[in-house]
Amino acid sequence: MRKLSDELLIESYFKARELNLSQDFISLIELEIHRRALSNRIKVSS
Amino acid sequence: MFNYFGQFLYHVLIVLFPIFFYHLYLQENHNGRKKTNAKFALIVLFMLFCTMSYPIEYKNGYIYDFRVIPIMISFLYAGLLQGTITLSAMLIYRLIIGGPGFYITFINYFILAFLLILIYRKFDSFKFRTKMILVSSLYWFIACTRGITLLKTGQFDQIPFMLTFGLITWFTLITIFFIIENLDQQMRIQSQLQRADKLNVISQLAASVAHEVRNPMTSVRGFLQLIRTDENLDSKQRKYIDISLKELEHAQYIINDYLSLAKPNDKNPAIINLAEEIKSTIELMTSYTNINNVTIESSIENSLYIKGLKDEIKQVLVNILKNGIEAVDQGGIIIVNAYTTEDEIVIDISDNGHGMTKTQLKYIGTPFYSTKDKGTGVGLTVSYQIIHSMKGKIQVESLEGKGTKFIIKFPLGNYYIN
Repeated sequence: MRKLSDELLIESYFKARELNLSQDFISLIELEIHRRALSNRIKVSS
Repeated sequence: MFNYFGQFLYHVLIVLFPIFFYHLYLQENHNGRKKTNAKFALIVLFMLFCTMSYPIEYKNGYIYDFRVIPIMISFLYAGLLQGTITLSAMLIYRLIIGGPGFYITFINYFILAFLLILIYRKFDSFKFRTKMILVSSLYWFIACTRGITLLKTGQFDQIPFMLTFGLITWFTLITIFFIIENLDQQMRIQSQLQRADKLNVISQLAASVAHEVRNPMTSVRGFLQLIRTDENLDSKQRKYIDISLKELEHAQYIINDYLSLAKPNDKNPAIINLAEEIKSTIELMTSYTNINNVTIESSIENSLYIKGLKDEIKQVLVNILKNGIEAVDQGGIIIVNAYTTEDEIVIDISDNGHGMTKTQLKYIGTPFYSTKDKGTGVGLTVSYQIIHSMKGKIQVESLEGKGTKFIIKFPLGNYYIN
């Protein structure tokens, strides 16, 4: 997860939500997004 | 008579001391004793030589010693081979010492050995009391034949001596049996402790490992699912991904199994009706039984109240029923009975599946032991733990090819519903 670029991470996040993947997986991505301080990007666009 | 007192003491000591030594320093369990290189054999031979070397001589030709003790314990506790070795050592030593009456000794001990061979196989399975009674009666039988010989030959003056000697021998013999039984018990407790310890360590390990593994697995699974949505994949690649996902699911299932082993048990037990739980569990399992074409027959009393945890009890029942369903072939039957006896609530679950061998039965319930190809060996361990935590007992009976029966017993408390 750490090797993923910011763009790809955000993209995977939305795709995962779109596909209704397991909540565990989504929380993992969210955690990484928060760690990189990118939270605003998912909040703004969603 | 009293001038023999010192000699009596010598024999008691020479027989008891090696056994004490054995008990304290050479801890051997009950199977170790039966091996040919057992230390027990040396101890017994030492005992035999010491007691035979300095016998009590009452009159010329009439010698008394404790040789019967090493012979009896080696037959009964170390098996046929050791017993025969001790017996032949005794006879050879008797020949070397010389003196009249060798043939009488030979015949006497031959009869004794015959009686011992008759019982030594079953001796292990007897209860402590039965063992004592058996050994005592065997000893007194020998003592009586000796007494009768004395009476017949008219040596009445020797009778009191013989009786005293007999009593002391008997007392020493019983003491030795107590010591060996005590050693066996100690060994048993030790191995039980080790087992409990192992279970504890495993449950702690399982929790941490399962947790560590779960996160990476979730991301693998998630990304695989993301890849699967890609339009550029051909059907082959899609198939590979499907297989990977399926395997991951299996792995996750195993991990969850392990996590349940270590789940902290912080909920408070409540009064629950077992009857309802059993019925709902059977209902829950119907879809599974339908696939496997298995029927569950049940006869359950209506009010079976115990104090316990609802979900945990359900987990136990699901585990056992699932095992049963997997053990029977198409068209098998599983019978569930639940009833109260005088002081217990009993649930027995039996199937007519392929059963288990004796070895399998011995290891059942130990962590990571499974008879199934896909089993983790955790399900029943957890069930055992749960039942024990509710002060219940679980028993398993199984015959290979005939089926298996699980019997769960809970103490009957007087719980009423308000």
